[in-house]
Amino acid sequence: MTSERTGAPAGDPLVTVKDLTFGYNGGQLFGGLNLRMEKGNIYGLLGLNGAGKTTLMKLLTGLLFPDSGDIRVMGDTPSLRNPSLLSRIFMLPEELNVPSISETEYVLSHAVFFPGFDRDRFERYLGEFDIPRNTKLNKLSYGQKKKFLLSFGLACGSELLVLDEPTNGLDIPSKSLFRRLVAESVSDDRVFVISTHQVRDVDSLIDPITILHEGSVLFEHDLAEVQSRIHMTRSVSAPPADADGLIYSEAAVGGYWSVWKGADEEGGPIDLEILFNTVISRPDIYAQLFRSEGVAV
Amino acid sequence: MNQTLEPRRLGWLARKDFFAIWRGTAIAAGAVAGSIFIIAVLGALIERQRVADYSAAFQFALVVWGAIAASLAFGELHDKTRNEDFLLLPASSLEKVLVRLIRVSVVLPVFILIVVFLASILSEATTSLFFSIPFRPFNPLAGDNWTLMGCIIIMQSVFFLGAAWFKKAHLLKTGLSLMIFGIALGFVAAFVFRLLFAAYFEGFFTPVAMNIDFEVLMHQRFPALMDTLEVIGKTVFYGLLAPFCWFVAWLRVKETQSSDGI
Repeated sequence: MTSERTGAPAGDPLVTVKDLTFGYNGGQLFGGLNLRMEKGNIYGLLGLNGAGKTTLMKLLTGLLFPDSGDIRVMGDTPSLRNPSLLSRIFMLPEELNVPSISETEYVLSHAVFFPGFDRDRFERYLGEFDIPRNTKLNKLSYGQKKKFLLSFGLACGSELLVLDEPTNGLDIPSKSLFRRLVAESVSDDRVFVISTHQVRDVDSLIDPITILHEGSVLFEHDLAEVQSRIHMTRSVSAPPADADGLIYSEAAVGGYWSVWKGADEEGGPIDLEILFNTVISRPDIYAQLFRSEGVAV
Repeated sequence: MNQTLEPRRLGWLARKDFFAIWRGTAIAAGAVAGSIFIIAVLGALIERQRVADYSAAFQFALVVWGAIAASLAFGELHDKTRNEDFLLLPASSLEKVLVRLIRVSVVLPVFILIVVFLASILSEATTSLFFSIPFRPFNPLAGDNWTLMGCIIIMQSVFFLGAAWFKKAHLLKTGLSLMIFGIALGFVAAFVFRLLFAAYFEGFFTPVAMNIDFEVLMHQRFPALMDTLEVIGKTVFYGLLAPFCWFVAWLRVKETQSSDGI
């Protein structure tokens, strides 16, 4: 049985990446990267500068072609750039360049390509983001352009939404509005991929977390899984370095964040910045921790 | 859904392009029409006779505007801030190329024809009314115009390929490439003549007389070869050049990646 919209077998992951290799100018950025993205999730794609987050997003959308390996999005190969697939993908790049046309012209010229575009929803988003109307798009501020394209992307009904640093340039009210709109837009047949360095802007939104590091996926787990294996505490003083179960400790404003082996009995929050720092600085321990519990890292 | 060619998507792409370029095109049309009008009226005012040559104006506009438009046909393809929108637009590479090709090779020449025609009507009406110069507007249906349009479309295909091929300064680089190609061809021809007609040269490349027509000599000496070369030349120019350029442009667009703009 296949999904009528995606063409992919129902229940299959929306995105699968197998043994992906890719590099720029003869170098190698990814060497055998593997990844799966299941429908109904908002994936947080994290990594250091140059880890390849934007590159991976471009590979998923067909903007770049892999050197080897296989990428499947909704059962299709993105590098072929088939219109049927492109009409089900929307990417919001970090660098924005909108044409010198009005918002009405933009919708008239772009919306037809997306069969799931919902004009009413788009109008609502524009209203909620308080985007000035009847203004040429290139005259809008960076944040306004971003909000306009976000509104369009959320309204176009694509199954795969790829958002590169979506909260950059957004004012504080817009960031919370963004979280609310994304949360209400995600559905069982959609996948959102959000790449960001501003994890606190989206920490209530993204789950699972995917961390890219040194050319491969270092970490790929949902937060419930993380909470079942580690917990975080905050203390005024640093814990002893040899404290039992201590994985990582980091100085923070007014104290220390510490990461410990073992589930959090009280279900305390996971700070994504600390999680990221821990995974990056102690990949061996994380690998051991998750593998020992029968979970592939 | 047809993944390669669907008329509906061609229409959508054409509409998208229209929104993007109509303002610039209107300004350019205004500049062409205004220039024609000013030349016609100034000529009538100073010379008291018709000085405007509408056919020449049409040819000039067609060559210059056509080459510029063809060179800018894929302006966003190699611009990293704009190519993502172009590449991710849900249409096939063939459709994206075809729409631009139709725009610069069919729509634009006809549009220039109409602009020059309307400008000539306005100019002729003005000069006829105020300077009693007989009303004789540009004839857009004249066969010469359409023959010229055919040749221009072929030449434009080179600039169209340049637009897809080069990352920056498309017009300049295409022009330079054509010039280098012409010079290279000239050198080859010069060497051939030098070898075949050694008696007509003194030194390395200095002809014994300035009025020697090597083309005539070639026809006299090698009539069959020259006829064959002419057939080959015409076949290449009229039959192969444009399709080749369009095909390579399509391949180039198909293979373009976002990193090409970096």
